[in-house]
Order: sequence, then structure tokens, then C-alpha cells
Amino acid sequence: MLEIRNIAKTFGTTPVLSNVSLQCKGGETLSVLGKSGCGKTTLLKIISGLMTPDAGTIAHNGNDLSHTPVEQRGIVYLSQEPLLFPHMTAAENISFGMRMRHRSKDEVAGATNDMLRALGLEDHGRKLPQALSGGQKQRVAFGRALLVEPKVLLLDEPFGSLDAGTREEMQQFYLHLTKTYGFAALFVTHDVKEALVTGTTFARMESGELTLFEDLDAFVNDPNGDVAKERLFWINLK
Amino acid sequence: MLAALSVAATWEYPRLLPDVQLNLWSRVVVGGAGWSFLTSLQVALPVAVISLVLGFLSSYRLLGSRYRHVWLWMALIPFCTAPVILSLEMQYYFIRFGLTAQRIGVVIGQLLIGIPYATVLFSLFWNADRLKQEEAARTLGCSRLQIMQHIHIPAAGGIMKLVFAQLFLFSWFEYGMTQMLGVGQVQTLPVLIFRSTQEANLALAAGACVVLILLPVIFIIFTRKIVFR
Repeated sequence: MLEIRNIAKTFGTTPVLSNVSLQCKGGETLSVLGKSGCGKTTLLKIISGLMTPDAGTIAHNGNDLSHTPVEQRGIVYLSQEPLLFPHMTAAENISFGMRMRHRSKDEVAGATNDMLRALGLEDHGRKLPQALSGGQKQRVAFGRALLVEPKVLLLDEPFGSLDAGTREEMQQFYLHLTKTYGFAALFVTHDVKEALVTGTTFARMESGELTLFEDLDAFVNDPNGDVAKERLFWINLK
Repeated sequence: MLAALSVAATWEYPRLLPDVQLNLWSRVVVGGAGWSFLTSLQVALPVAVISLVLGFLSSYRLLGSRYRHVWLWMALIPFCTAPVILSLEMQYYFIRFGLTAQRIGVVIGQLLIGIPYATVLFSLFWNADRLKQEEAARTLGCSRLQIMQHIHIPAAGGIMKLVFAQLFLFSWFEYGMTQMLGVGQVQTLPVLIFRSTQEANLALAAGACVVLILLPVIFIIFTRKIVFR
């Protein structure tokens, strides 16, 4: 279980995160809904180790990760852009993490083929990233992340750059992956529907402060939340 | 024309072609073109390789730096003065450290232009996307060395070849600084050509010119896909 306690971060004189605490169990996706600039990306970068917090601790299954280097945390960060390595094929991108861990060639080849099948990309393994569509690239990025068996997956608006149709398809694909692989994930988004579809637990972030909800009802009925505003919009639509 | 001049025993007006004596080329080689070719290689290769490596690394180091633009602006300073003026400014230190009339001195002098030049060129390669790719790779468990070896260097293959070719050609054709710091003792091909011309040794000058442009022509043939893409 991922445990974050009292994380705080200030850029210059501007506080970006104020005493953020949360928990996320294996097999759970914590959906964090928040507008651009509310501190979502900073929170994820701190959890992954790419940024240092001013205060607070990060732990996984009771082990303090606060001072563990990024590459040893086992926490994979997926951003809005797939960030595939342009000189590697889809298959090479997917197997990248395993190859860096010096796994045997047979093991890497077997796992990569299985992952390509799971991603529905068995015919695209030899293609370079520039020959793939936006959705396919994001699938490869997921495959690359999952093959290193992360303790936690951090998703920073991963479908933000996709069109509405592909985005919906990818949300369903994400649910399929969570059921298959059972990883713990933090999914940050500014899209209400996406937060509802992908999350099993819910939180709202505003001006660097995180509000956790007990269940879906509490999240949906939050009077200050975007879900209520969105519902009101549809009710008043004539 | 240069090839014809290098084997011309006599070439009088109005004849279209000269009296050819192929054995004049032995004079070109004996006259120093062979040694000058080797000297040019001994200067240009280290200048190109060292500038490439240090330029690539220093440019990488500037990625994400708050003062990146200041450093890149400073890297342009060596180009504001001609190499010969730059070497005049540095000559005191070269004499002080016993580097004048030495190949190593000429190499060091040219590196002072080559490294900043490579740094500026590689700054086009290092952008925000590279930084994001690096961050993605680190969260996947990659060390910085693995990232350099498996991501950055292969991705930079094309620009590396181009920068290497440019640095090599800069050093290969450089005359002013080489003459100033080498005080005539480091006889690269351009130095030999100027000397032969001054001595009115046209066959040697023309032969050395042929040798001088031979390597760049080969370079262009091999790098044309990158250069003209």
C-alpha cells in the first residue's frame, strides 16, 4: 500500500502542495480530479521521486521511500505524452525496462510478445513510434510501464491528448488492465467522467489541497466538486 | 584543374592541356604533402572527437539549467573573433606552458573553438522532450549511464555524425590559428599550401590542394544523406 503523509511543496513563495496525505492499496485506482495548475503533476513527480518535497513522507508497505532514488522506487510515471523512445520499435519500447534489468533474451521476448497481445498490438511490434496512432502509442507506454511490474503506477492525464472516441476506448482498456494486472494507481485528470470511469476511490485537488472521499456517493455529492456542477449543467440544459 | 596543375611540367598559353609528368607527384609527396596529410589527421581527428564528446556532455549538462541561455551566449564568444585573433590573445599562455610549435598546442587551441561550437550545435538536440524521456526512463528503473547509452546516444546518432563532420572540416581547413600557434612547425596541409604558394611551387601547392580536398569529398559522399536530408 502506498502511503503519503503531509507532503508540502513551495515554488519560490507560492505554495503548490499543502499537507497532502493519501493512501492507495494494490488493485485500487485513486482518481484525483483537479483543474490545471492545482498541483496534480507536482504531487505525482514528488511521489515518483522526480521532485523533492519540502516536507512529508512517502512509504510503500511500510518502507520509507522518501530518500530512495527514482530508479529504485518501482513507481512508474506516465504522462499525457507517451514519451516513447523514437529510435526503438514498439516491441523494443515495451521490453525496454526488462532489458535494462538484464533479464534473459528468452524471458524478454516471451514477456514482450505476451504484452503486445494483451495490448492488441501484435501486428505493430516492429513499427517505430512515428508509425503508430496516438492511442497505439499510449498503449505501448502502458505496456512499457507494466512490464517492469511497478509497485505503483502514476498516471498524469494519460489520455489528455487523445480525441474523444479514442479516449473512451482507452479508459475501457485501462479498466481491463487494472483487472488483469491488479496494480495500485493514482490517476489524475481534470475530466469528471474520466475520474468516475477509472477510479475505485476518489479525491479532489484544489489549490494544492487534497480532499479524499469515503465513497463514490460522497465524491458525486460533494457540493464544491465538479461532479455537482456538471450534473447541474445537464439538469438545467433545455 | 588542381589535379592538372599538380602534374603540369609546363602549361603555356594558348594550350588547353598541360604537358603531363606523373612523376611530379613524387615531388608532391616528398615535398611534404604525405607528412602534412598525417599531421592534419593527427590534429583534426582529436579536435573532432574531443569537441564532439565534451560538446555533447556540456550541452546535456545545460539541459534544464536556469542559466542555459547565458552559457550558450558565452559559448558564441569564440566566434565573435577570428581564430587568428583568438590565438594572438592566447599566445602568451601557450608560450608560458610550452605549447607553441607543438601539435598538442594546435589541438588545444582549436578545441577552444570546437567545444563551444559543438555545445551550441547539440543544444538543438537537447530539448524539453529529451528531459521528459529521461524522467520516464528513470521511473522505469534506468540509471543515468543506461539512459545515456541506450536512449540519448542512439537518438543523437544523426546529429553526432553531422557535428563530427563539421568539426573535422573546421580543423582540417584551419590555417590562421595553426600557423600562429604552430609557428610554422606544425605543418598541416593548409600551412603547406600557403608556404608552397609563397615559394611559387605550384605543383606542390596544387598537389597538396588535391590531398586537402580528398578527405572532405569522401566525407560528403558518406554523410550526404544526413547533410542533405
